[in-house]
Amino acid sequence: MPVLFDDALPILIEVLNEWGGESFVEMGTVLRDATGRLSFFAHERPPVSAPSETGASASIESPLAHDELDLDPLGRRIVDRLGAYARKDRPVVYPTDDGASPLLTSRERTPVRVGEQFCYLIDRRIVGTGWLAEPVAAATSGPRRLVFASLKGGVGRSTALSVTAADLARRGRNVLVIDLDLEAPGLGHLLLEGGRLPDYGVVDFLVEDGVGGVGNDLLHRFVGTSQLTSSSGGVVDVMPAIGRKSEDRPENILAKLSRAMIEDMTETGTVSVGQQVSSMINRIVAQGSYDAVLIDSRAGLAELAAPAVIGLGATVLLFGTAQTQTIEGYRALFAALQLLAQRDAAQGRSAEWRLALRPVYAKASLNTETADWFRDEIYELYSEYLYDAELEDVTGAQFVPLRFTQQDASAPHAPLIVPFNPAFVDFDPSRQPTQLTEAFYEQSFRPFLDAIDRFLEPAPPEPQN
Amino acid sequence: MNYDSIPFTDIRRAIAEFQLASRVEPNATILPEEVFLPVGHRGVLDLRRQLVVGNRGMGKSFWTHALGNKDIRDKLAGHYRFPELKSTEVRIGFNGSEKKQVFAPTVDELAEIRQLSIGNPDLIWKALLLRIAEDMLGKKFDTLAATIGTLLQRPSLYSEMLSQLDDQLSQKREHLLVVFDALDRLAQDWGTIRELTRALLRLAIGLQSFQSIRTKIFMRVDLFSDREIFRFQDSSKIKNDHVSLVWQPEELYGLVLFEILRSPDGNSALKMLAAQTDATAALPINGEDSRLHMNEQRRLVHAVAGEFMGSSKKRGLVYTWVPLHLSDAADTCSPRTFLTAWKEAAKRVPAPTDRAIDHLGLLDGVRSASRSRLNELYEDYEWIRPSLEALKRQFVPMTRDQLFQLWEDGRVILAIESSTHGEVFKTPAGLTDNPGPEALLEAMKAVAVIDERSNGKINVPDIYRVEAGILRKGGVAVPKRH
Repeated sequence: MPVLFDDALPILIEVLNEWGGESFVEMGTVLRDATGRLSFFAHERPPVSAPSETGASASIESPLAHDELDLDPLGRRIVDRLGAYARKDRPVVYPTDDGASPLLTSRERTPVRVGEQFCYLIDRRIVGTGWLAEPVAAATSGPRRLVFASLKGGVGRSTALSVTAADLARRGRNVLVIDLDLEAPGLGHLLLEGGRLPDYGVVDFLVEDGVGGVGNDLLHRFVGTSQLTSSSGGVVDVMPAIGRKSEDRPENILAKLSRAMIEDMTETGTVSVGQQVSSMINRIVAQGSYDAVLIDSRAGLAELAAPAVIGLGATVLLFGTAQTQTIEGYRALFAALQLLAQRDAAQGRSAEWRLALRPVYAKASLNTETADWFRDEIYELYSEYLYDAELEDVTGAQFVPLRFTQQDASAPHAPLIVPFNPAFVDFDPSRQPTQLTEAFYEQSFRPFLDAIDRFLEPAPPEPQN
Repeated sequence: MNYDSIPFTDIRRAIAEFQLASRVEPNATILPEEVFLPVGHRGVLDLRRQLVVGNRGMGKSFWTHALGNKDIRDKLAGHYRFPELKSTEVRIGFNGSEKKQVFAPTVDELAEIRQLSIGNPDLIWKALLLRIAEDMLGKKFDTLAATIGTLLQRPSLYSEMLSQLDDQLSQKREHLLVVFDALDRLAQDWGTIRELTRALLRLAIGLQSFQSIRTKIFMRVDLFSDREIFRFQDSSKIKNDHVSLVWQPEELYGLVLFEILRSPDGNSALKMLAAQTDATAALPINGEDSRLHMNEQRRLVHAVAGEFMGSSKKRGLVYTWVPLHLSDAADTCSPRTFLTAWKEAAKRVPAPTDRAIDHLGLLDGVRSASRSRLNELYEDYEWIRPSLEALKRQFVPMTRDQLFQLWEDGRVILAIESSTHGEVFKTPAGLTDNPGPEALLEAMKAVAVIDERSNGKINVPDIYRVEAGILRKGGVAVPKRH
């Protein structure tokens, strides 16, 4: 049975453990390269002799030419056990080797639990680097940001966003809506009817940003004013994914899209897509006097979901229906976030960004069994991946770990609820403006809107600890 | 807010000196000024509702005594708006006492009498009620044993005498209430307890045809969830309108404030604090629950103990955090457990200066209250100990299969069965019928130690889990060395 991806790291840790014990593993760092192959950066030489000579017989059978590569016994052992998943040129690297020491103290090192113990892992990726960025805690200044995210479409995410925007405007707040769902844009049409679509959208901004940049004088051409703007209340501005110019030249959309989602090269270094999106939002926000920024995004594991979920300091509403696929989809997301939280913790940060992830139980039914099932599963996801593990010995602990009981209705895991309402099935306020009258949405959305209001409250000043 | 003038040490001392008896003894005396009156317990005093169900420490024995005290009854009648309580005569029918009483048989007497009643447990309770009726009618009454003999000869005497009493009471707009408590002490074995309890419930249902005579039966949660006890015709007539003794968070806080007010120093300090926080409405003066003033209560509690369970709101509000962490699987917490948490919190040093206690104290307090709560349960239900110990160092939530496997590996069912010589506190009722993990799980759920979630997973609420050394799966963690 050849070693495949999922087994590679556990097997490496097993070998290292046999060789040097737990602390040898924990003091070192595993580097996983872009293909997935592993090398181990040790903090010191392991004990001289091999623990047992089972490895010796393996190397006799093995056709690999170890001598040619000049590997030490541990290196040979790793290559034997990991097969294709070992970096054959350097399965194990010692502090005296070139380029070894920066890695051992790198901020990228992430603690990963493997079986009963931990190791540090640096995961080099070509695609998906956005998920390795350091998450951003909620900003204390500027308008609050709310990301409306879901794994799949059809869960009422855009509807909820439109209703929220309409309701905020009705109550006198100015709202900026940004469509980051670049691969399936839709908000532009929903919220900008008739001639309201601006010339350009997010895709154009990201493309131009990497070429000649977008000047301030041009920014107003990326934003349209929605029909949701209330003459007796607030403004709803919308930055669509694509603008009118793209509609004139649809053949360019895919070509632009692929260029929008790449790092920009500048004289001072590279700028990640996340950073580009973040500064784009900052620049647009600076153009108006907004009270809230609503962002539409996927929460899938795709590249562009990452900045929305962890890079904007936003409250992230994770929409989902009460189905197993929702739970399993969020499990993959949360398991990735757990690693980021563990990296934060290892570097002495409290990872407060975890508190900004809020589930939304979409299309909720009146069936309490289903609702209870969903709440149980969601709580377990939060408890297993996002909340702090319990210390076995809590005596003398000077801080309260970030943990919540399931019944705590104010805890992050407590879902916001949008009940199923067939009236919203063909939601399209641009064709049926009555769908955004207050009477129409009030009954289904009021509890949800009240919860949103609490997220939009200005942050209380953090007491110094 | 600036509370410079508040003597927090007085409040702190009052909390540290909470008097906590581990249980209410069968013949204890309770004074009217010791009684706190939770709004949610109003149903207990409704004469129509004869069955009251509660877990250990929720107040079954407390209410038995409170009802038996004329002064308290008058207070209750006013507070809970049940004027008929003022003209109600209360007699104890059974309370597990060892000491001889006029009507209630002692545990030993009951065992003897059972031999005489020749497989007809209904006669025992009818004879008991008959004697009380005779007494109230000013007639001479015989011993319980002799009365059973009389009833065997003349079964109709029971309804004759009770009808006569009922008419007399109704005319005078008076009532008779016979209170039963500690049913788990009716006998040594489950078979007899079930038989006697069933007979008692039948008697209570029979009383519904009278106008002014009622029982009040206080029953433990495990008996209430025992299907055998309710396996008789018409059992739904008494089961359907039963009253559950539970405590809401605001009632628990009301009790804490009430206990502080009972201490002379604490009283004036708390009143000053309440005045400064505009929360005077939250003070349970005279024991009267102030559930209508939750905002004021929360403000006052936060002024006493701080607002957050840490440096900021993100760790949770003290007001909601403490009851949540002391809640069992039925989402309730016993008053003693709650008071214990506060009492322990007030012992932690160093004491804060700008409030009476702080969140670090409350963390200690919750731990310590959990420990004593679990020990209390072990006293009443010895079988909980091996059932939880088998889960030590395991992770919850777990599946039913995993739980049963752990119980099997730990030989838990065998241990429970072999430890018992028929004593009811050593084995749950259901386990004597169907030895097996299903029955044990049902029993654990009945006493709210284990929770079977809607997603099919088995969970143990924090109050018991942490103390029993059961772990919560996963979470963000870092290596020991870093």
